[in-house]
Amino acid sequence: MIAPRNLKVSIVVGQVSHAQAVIDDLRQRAMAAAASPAWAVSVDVVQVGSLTDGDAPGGGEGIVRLQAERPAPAAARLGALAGKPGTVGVAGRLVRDNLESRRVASTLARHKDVVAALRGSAVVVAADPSADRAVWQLRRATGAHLVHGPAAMVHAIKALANG
Amino acid sequence: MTRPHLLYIAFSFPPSTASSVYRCTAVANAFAKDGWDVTVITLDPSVWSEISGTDHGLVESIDPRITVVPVDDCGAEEPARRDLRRFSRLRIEAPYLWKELYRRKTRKGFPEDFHAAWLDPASKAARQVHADHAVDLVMASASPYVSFGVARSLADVPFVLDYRDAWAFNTISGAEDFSPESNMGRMEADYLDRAAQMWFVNEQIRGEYAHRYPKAAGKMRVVANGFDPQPGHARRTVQATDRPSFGYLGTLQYVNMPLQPFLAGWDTAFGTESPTKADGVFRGKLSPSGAAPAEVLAAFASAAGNGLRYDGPISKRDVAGFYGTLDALILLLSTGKYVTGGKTAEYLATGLPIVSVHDLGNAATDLLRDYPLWFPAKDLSPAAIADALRECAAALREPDEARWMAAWEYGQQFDRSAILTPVIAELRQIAGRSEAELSAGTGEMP
Repeated sequence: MIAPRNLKVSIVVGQVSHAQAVIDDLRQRAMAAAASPAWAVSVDVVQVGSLTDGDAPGGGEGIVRLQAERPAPAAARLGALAGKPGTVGVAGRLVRDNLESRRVASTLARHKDVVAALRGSAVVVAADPSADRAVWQLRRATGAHLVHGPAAMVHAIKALANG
Repeated sequence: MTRPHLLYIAFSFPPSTASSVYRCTAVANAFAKDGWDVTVITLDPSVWSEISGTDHGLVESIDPRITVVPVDDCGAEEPARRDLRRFSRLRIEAPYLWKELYRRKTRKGFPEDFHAAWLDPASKAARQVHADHAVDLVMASASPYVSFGVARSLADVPFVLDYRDAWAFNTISGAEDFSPESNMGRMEADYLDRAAQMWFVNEQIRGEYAHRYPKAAGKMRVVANGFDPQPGHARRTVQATDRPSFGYLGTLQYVNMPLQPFLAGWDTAFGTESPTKADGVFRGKLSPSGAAPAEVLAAFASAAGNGLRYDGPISKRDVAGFYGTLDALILLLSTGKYVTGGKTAEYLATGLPIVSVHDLGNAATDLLRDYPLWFPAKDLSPAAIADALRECAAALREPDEARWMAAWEYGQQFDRSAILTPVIAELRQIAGRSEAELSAGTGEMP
């Protein structure tokens, strides 16, 4: 009997509501994607956010939690602008989302050990738009599939498992 | 003409799991069964795999006599692609701005956002198919409507437009997207004038189109959605139960569907405070793209204690097996007088009780009204939904065999092959005739 080959999937979670539900869904889909017994899928999760008292940094259950950097001083005002209709609202959302993705990406970049672990993955998936930049910025550091969301993640796993 | 050649333009075709796929597959198969040579031009399956997932079991339902020609999207699905290595710095820095600039760039050849990019490659493929084996009839399925543009790429070949829904207005909100007098409206009128026929899924949409474009009204047909019998489709023996299993199968359009009132109604009917218990299983995609919205996942997670759960997508080939595990069905639909719902006919064909959770002004009500096992919520309040669920559960405690039999028999009339046979017979009279030979614009059959 040949031991199954390991296929490591890493999930990067930024600022998202119901994070645990999103993580569970991605984890479940990743495990189901490589249906062949020739592959053993392992899933790691990196969550970057504003941790609450119940979220111990370092995490557990395969989750590494990183305390995000403090929001920019103008974040609250941008949040208000982002809720407005029309061009002002669009501009507000653009700046707010841009700063948020930068916050997630720079927090991750400061944790070299976590970045090194991500670089060793076969697939790195951004769970939400605020995590896109953090995953995208790995593009010159690894040959891993860098994707956003469940469909692209499953596609990448299947491509690897069937390739 | 003993063996006419149909060129079918279907952006979505198996293994795609897009909502139009079942109708497109059934239409192509029906033409093949009727003795036509059928060639399908569709989007390359690898694109579907990347953007929304695929169902390879569905490929088995394609008639093997059909030739499928996959065509690259050439950027039509770029916004839906989530390979971050493809992302430019602009898309990372300012995704809305990138999308708007991309939208403007793609609309140059055809007035449809993003999908217009498919016009050139698909038209080129259509011309190649025609050169290799002369096409007698083109049928184009929407959406996207760029398929209609591709249908016109073969000069002097009659074409049929399968609208399914509507281009000029939103079938859920009813809001007009463009008027008949606008540039878009004039362009659509030209398409309708030149088309040999056009299909809609219900009388409500056909009637609105006939009102907007009266000149083409005679060529407009209602070709309703039916069900496609899958392996294992059979009548079940009804059994009394005190803890019924309800099921939902389909794509959850959670933005438009009354999901939250349903969850509240379920909690009232079968939650911890209720003496009656039931199980509820949702299968299918949680959004058209296959993504799972965080709030929907969280809603199901919090409802788990009440017997409700989400078990993920299911292959079309396995749906009969799923229905076989259920006692009753939940029909959640968006509100809108033009909304029939692709799964309504399939639900009816199971012969199972159906609890309707949708506005009763929907077009779907026309199909359900006479169904012997219909349990509609009187309105979309949690209390009314709970009443409908309880009423259905009560019927399942002491089922009436004759009523169940009548429901089964009622449902079998929606077999899609029975719906398609007469319209395809009509199209045999059109195939191979030039526009000049056809009574363009009058709707009179030659």
